[in-house]
Amino acid sequence: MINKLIPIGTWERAFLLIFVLIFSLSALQAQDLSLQDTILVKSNQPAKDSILVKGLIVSGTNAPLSNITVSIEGSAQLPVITNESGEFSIKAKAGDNWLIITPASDYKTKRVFVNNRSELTVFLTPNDLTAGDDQLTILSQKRNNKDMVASYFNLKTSDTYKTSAYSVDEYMQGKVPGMNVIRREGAPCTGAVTFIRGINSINASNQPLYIIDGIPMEKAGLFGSNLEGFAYDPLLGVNLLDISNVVVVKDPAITAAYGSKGSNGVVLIQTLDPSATQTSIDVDFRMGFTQSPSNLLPQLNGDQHKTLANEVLFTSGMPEEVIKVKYPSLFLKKTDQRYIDYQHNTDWQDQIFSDAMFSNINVKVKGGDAIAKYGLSFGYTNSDGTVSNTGYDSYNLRFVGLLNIFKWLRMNTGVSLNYNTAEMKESAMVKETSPILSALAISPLLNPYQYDTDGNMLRKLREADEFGISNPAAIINTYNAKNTNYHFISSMGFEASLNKDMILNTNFGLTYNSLKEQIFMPNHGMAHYYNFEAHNVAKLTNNYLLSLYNNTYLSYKKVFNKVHNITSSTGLNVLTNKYQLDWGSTMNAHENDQYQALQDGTNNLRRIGGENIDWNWLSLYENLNYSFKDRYLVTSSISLDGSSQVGDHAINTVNIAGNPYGIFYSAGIGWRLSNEAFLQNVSWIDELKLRASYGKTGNNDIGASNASNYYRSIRFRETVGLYPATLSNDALSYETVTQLNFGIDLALWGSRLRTTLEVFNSTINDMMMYMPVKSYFGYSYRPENGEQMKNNGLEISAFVRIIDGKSFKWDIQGNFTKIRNEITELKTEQLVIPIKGGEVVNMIGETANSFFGYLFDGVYSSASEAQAANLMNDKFVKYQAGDARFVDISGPDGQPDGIINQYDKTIIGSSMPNLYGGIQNTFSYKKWSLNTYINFVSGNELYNYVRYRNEQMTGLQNQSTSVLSRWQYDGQQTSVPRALWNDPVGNAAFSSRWIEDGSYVRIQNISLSYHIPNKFFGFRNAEFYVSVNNAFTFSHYLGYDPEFATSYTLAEQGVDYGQNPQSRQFIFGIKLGL
Amino acid sequence: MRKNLKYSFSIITILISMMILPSCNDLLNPEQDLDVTKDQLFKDYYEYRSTDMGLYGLQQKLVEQLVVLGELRADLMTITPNADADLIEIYNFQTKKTNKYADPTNFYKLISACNSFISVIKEKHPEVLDKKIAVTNYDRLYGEVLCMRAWAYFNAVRIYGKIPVIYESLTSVKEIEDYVNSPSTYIDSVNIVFDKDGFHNDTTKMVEVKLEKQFYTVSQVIDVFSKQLEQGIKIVDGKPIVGVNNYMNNNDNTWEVTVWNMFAWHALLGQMYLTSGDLTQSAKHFNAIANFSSDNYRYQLDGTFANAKWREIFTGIDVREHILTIWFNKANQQQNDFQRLFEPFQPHQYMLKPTKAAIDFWETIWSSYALIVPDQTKPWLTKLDKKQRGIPSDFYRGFGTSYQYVKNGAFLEQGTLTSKGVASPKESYAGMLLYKMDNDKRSYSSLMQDVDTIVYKYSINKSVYDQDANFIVYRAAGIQLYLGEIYTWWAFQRNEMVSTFTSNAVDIVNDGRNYSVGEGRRQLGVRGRVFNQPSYNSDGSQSTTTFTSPLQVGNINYIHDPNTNEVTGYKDLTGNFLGIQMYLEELILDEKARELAYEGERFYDLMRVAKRRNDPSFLAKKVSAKYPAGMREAIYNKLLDEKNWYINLFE
Repeated sequence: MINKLIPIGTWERAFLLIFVLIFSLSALQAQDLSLQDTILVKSNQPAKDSILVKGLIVSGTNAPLSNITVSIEGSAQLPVITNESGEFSIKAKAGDNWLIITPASDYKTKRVFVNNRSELTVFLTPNDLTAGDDQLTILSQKRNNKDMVASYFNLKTSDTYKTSAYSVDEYMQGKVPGMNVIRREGAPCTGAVTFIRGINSINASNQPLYIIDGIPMEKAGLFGSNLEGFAYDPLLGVNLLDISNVVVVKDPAITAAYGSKGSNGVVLIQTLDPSATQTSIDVDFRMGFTQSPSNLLPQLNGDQHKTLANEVLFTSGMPEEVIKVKYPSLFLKKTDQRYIDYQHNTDWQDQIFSDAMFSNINVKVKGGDAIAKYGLSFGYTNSDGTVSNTGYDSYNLRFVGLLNIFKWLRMNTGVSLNYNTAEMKESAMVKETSPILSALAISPLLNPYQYDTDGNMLRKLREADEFGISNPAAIINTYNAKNTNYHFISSMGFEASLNKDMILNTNFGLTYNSLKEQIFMPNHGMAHYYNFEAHNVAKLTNNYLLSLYNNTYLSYKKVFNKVHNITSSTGLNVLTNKYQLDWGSTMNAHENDQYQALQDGTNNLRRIGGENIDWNWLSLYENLNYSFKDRYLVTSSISLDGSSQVGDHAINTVNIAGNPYGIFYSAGIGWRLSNEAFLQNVSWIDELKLRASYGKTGNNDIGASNASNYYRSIRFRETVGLYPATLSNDALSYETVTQLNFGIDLALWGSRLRTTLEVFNSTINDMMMYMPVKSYFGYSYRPENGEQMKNNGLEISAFVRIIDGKSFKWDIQGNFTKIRNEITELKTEQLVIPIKGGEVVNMIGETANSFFGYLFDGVYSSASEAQAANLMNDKFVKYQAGDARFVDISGPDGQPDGIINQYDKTIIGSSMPNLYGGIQNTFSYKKWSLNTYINFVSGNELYNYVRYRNEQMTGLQNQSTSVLSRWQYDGQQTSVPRALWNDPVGNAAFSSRWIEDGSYVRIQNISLSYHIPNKFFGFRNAEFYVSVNNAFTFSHYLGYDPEFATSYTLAEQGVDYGQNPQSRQFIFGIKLGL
Repeated sequence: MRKNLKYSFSIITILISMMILPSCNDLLNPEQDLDVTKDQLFKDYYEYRSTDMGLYGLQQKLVEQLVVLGELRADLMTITPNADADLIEIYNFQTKKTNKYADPTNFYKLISACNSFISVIKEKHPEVLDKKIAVTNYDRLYGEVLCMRAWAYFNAVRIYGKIPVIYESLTSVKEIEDYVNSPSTYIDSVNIVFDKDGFHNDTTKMVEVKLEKQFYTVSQVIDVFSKQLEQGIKIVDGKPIVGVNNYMNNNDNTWEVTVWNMFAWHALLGQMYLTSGDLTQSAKHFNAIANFSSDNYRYQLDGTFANAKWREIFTGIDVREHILTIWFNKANQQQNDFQRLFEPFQPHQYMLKPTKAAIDFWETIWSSYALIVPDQTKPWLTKLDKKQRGIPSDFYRGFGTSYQYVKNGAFLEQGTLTSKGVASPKESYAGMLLYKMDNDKRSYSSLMQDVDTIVYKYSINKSVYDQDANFIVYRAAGIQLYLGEIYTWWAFQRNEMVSTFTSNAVDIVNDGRNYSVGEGRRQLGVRGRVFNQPSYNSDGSQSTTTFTSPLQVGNINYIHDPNTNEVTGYKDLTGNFLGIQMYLEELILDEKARELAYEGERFYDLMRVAKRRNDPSFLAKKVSAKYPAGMREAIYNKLLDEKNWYINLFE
């Protein structure tokens, strides 16, 4: 069935094979060891008043473990201890008792259901592996790992310090099955874009709900910016090294409790865990070094560029005299004063990139006593970017405290203060200020600095010449873009035990987040701005968010007759948000660039703007879990959501007291086969569980005002008028995601092998789309619910300790996800969304937001070939020899019409991968540990916008060496069209020519660490480590790096707008404990 | 005690939650700070006024469309090689639904905003509170909005031929969709009646909206909206109550002329009646403007914009010329795309340019020439007086004002030209004219090689970044030319004699004699304003005027060589009064091409005349002349079908 749902390609087969190989290898090895314990299996004994349980306790390698304490849960009788050969015997009162196995060290405590057995073998799990009895905190309740019916992943964060990741979303890349993480760029601390289980929305947010210590985080990309290529990731406010636990919940069995915020999955993050009463101080020092990008793009040299420029100008139709007047630099003679300025062969990419340093210190203090416990951490990071003069500085302070006021009343409090500043540059969307685009476009004949009349180089930056390309050195040295972020979160909560089964809890959270951005675009050395209207520009942008949150809930936990286990959580979430954006820009302050404030520019060129948005959320929820005999598990969630974003008459809601409420729900069942009679004595099977869940969650990120009838201001003369802003839709409602999930969990030999396989199918209904409306409504679009798409997928994750020797251990952990997204309902045939430099489209049967353009089919090699094709462009110009050959797919009547226009656009790729995952390999020998981590993505296409700029040959910019094979004479066979001034023919139009395979395999991290065995200068423990991040990337992509994301907007995914490329980073560090 | 504490805590917590729940309504409908919702608006007059101002902002969005569709489809404007695919479509009369210049959305954005405003005024009927006041500001706003809506519908129907009319009582998307899709008649649920003496709601009366009226033709739109403008608006002392007289409040008299007022109301109605062929009604409204006399000589073609001052019509706003102007101002962030479309200088795109026919209208008009007529009865003997062959070109309205020549990125200099045939410098516009006069083709083509012709009207006194030329909807000259057209055809029976008014028509255009309002400050007429040699008294008033190139229509009408002004033939219309009328009509149309070129009306002028003559070939011939051979015939044939005069988007 899975095969049918998801067609499997070569890449995928290869990965499947690797997986199968690894696991069969390990299974073989382990099976040898486990032969003997199958002999021990005996059939069930009839239940007696009191039974004698005999047992054997072994490790994952089947070695008997002695000196292990075994007791009966809830019994007063003394515990027993295993003998040399790991055996024990203990009296149980009944067959439904629980054994508690408490190893002294090295192994985890285990709870075993006797289940009427008189002889049993128990495999224990070493402390460094995940066990079924490990506890998770879900909906503020502790739950056992193994009792989860929902699809989730518990991410270990013990090696965060060895990676280059700064925020938790970056860190999760390739580690969480079902989660596709795209690091935004190589500039330091820029966050990541995350998709859990495919595309879950086209216009609303796709980012999961992050809950940090019980407080929901604002959505990524909320803050506005005037800097192209910048998108704010609030997770940067959570120091990755503070995080102690991450649980990613992917299916509605749990996320339905988060109602209209749960459809993209929920990531529960716990920071400092103040559970210890013994004071501990941990200090991390890290130093890093980032290499400047090594795979620079091959650009034309000076002579080649001059030839190309002449060739392009020749096609402009300008008379030669005019060209000579307009572009004198191309015709300089030796006697000319400026001659020396044009006698270089500068490698401009070398000028903008440089090696960068990184330093980081973290101090963590934990401690307390029976009454009060606390955790405190401080972090400082300084990280430079590989684009010169960019960097990031950040200070994090976090405090968490737990206070037992009475025995029945507890208080918790948390404060997080985060201050950071970043120096940035613009992405290649803006040709005047992007370091990358200007470095690619500027002629290599030029030099960054000016010369005096005697031919001596000065320290003065070269001004832009008539080619109109900024001096990259000016962008690096004098262009300024700085932002400052204050992120403040405080929380306080009370927990009251009402009786031994019931706890009432209330938590308040206050978030204040402000992002201030200052940009100055200088005069000297730069191509001027806004069509040369401005010689310098100053911009200021301020964002503020204030959120207040309360979660009040009642949790209930009770075991009836030892076999019925019920937990329940009932609560109310209230979240209010106030957001404000103010921006201003001004142009043409004094030409000396000394006056950079908003008030310094020219009065009538000053612009201001902004927005204020308030939105609120209210959700009443219930989550119920029930298990019977540790074999049958049932879970269910429901929530009733009110949201200010939906319309007063929102569809698919219930109206209570005049307000529409959405209902979200789920149910799941689990069946632990390993506890059934027929399997319970196969003791090497720790866990074999089948799971199924189904439910509906929602997404309320449909725009704060789309459902309300509001007026927008418009200027007329000196006054401001108001007009109805949109064709509002008061029936606008939540997007919903209905998901069906099947899973199998398997754990063998004391969790030495753990694997999970999941198949899911999710349907996104009532998608909010800006649908084209009939022109007589007076608006082009209207926000409407109603479109539908589906995601089908398969996830496998596994961990295996292949060799578990005394001093040598070999672990492999891996996961991969196969996924397909498809639009299944759409009101129009095509919904085309323009993006910069191209278009994306939504069509039934296709992946959402696929690239939409012409099919490029080479170049007409000769005039006769062009004539034979008899095609025209959309301006009715006939294609000639050397022009691009686009496929004439259709016309207004559905037939090819000889004209290349809108009718000939087709789907030419999708930015969404259909396979992704990661593999982590660890060797440890005594105190040494070597870790390699690989992630991969396959089946996605990328739009190489930088290459489009770098190969279009329509002006005087320098281009890539691939244009050397441009068409130049009749009969030339090539795939690069002719050079053409301003491209009136449209040879560079958005087409499959610019779409490339985005698959890659990246050795993301290799780290080697050494734990100092004994005390180190008085420190409790110490570890030295060195790691290489982003070590090698294997990809066919022609740009700098196949991984990038300009923004959180779905339509812009997979478009290479020239973000700073990721490059190799080395980290050296020491971790000390006091 | 402990137990009590335990419970009181839980009770308090539950109470807090309980307090949150009832306040859900506020929580789920937060008041936004900047975006005002409809129910927060309309609390006082100033909020009504703001919404009214918002409608002006929406009118601004229409101007490029009006110019492109009114001019590019006619004979005075054509495309350049830089034109984008959408302009090429319009030029080819093959406009697709996706064409951005043909998109009716902005018309309906204005209509929908007007509808919303009208329904608010009707529902809230604010001035009923004080019935003693004869005219309230709400009446003025109401009149203003009705005018704007009628103007939008009238312009849209001229473009699309057939358009849906959306009633203001259709408030929701569903209602509008049901109405448009209803099989026969649509019954609107609420009907609110606006009464001249007051406002009242009639929620009981069901009004049937008939399906065949969902798509209104030009005549239906004119019928419905002219009635609405005549009857729906309060008329006090014979004056319609339209627009709030702003300058009374802020002493800025430019405010008034840019806001819909009673004159704009007259102009719109006059234009509507003229289009539907009702000359009497049309003349009534246009004459109300032309005959208006006041201290400030409002709407009189006097010396204010005479000769070299003519171009100032486009740089300043003045109560003498401008009846309705949609104005723009970069400093207040209101810009349009005219310079982008017309100018060849960076960053503009130069996609549209004047046709040769347009240039010829200006360059082949001669002033101060004389004919030698040896015998009135033998017109074939008539010759041009060599001593006074005259000066070619409409120097004030043509070169340098309505259009410009650009060579290698610079304007061609104007130069000077005397009747003695000397130009200085030679490489100038005047020099070029001289080469033409002397039939020196070689020098002419060498001078004019690589010369681009550009529409300059919207660039006068503008820097390349301004992009804020005003768009004139109605101005005095246009009204007088409409009146000239009306008088050409106007005739009525009196004492068994048919009285005709062709000479009035000629007078209106030549010297405005029909409408003289003051001795000291005479009318000049459209032609006279730029072809006269006035002399002034010491007090600034004009004493005499010599017309140097009057419009001449008679039994014998001489044909001149456009380059040399030689008489090459004549047209004998003796006894053919219809012929004279048609000849005069065409002369007035040519005059209009010189006076009002690129102001968005040309195509509709051609349409109106072709319809009046019942001769589609009149339009087809004029328009097709600009196309290259091969295409010309195809366009000609296409335009013989009146259906192709419209962009048929609502089929």
